[in-house]
Amino acid sequence: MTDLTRLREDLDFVRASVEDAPVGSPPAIYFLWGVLVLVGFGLHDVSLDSVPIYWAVAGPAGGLLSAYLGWRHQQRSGYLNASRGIRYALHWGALLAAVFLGTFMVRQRIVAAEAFGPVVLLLVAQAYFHAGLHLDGPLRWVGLLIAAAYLVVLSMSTYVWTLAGVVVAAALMISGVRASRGRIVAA
Amino acid sequence: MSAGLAGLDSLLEHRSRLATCVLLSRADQLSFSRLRQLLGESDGNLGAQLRKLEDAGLISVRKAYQDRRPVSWYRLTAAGRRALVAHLEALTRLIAPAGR
Repeated sequence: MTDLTRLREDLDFVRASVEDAPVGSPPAIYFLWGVLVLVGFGLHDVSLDSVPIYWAVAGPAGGLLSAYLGWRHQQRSGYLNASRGIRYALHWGALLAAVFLGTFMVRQRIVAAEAFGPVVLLLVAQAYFHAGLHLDGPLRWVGLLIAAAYLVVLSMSTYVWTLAGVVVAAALMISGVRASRGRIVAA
Repeated sequence: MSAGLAGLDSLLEHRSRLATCVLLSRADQLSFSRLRQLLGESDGNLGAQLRKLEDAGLISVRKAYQDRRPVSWYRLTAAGRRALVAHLEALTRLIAPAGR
């Protein structure tokens, strides 16, 4: 046991096992949000009045469905980690809370209603980028794409939200496809 | 060196048992299949190593069904966590001088 070479080999074995252990998000979550974003962004161009109602329902409902999909994915992957789930919930919950609190600025006329959309887009871009840094790697470039969509929204005049929605939804779908390729079959 | 050896837990000197405890310390529960996949062990060998850890009270097992198939979920006990921390500290003391 005093053989340091063997000890190091054993520790390398442990390290390799630990590095392989975490499971990413299930592909279904990417597809779900791809669809929600596509519809939600497109609504800006065809029915602006229904956008707040849509996100008030789709946001929390999508969050709850995502939580269920994440829980089911952990069960099937044979890797249960409640603290990871809580970290996800806090991260995305903070985004929902920030958007909700931001609506007060519109109500008090500190920010014009038409300016709030791009502000939300920036918040979402930052949330996705941080999720990519701390939770799921592929979301990093989804965040960058949303930031690019923000610039598109500022610089164009017709169907800009639809175009932005298509770009972001495509990024989420591609992330979903990539996640499904690296999927772990277990339990 | 001897101080390090004194703190080593003989049960955790086996690399699969040590890796099992480290993995379980980073997750709430892991299934048998997942552990087998991560450790690259055979069913029989992993089962034997897990039983030793379970008999020593370092891990606990919960039997459940998923999609009509039996699944064994393993969790690190409080005693297991204490033993793992003590063992890793002893390993660090043992290896640190060699790295200087």
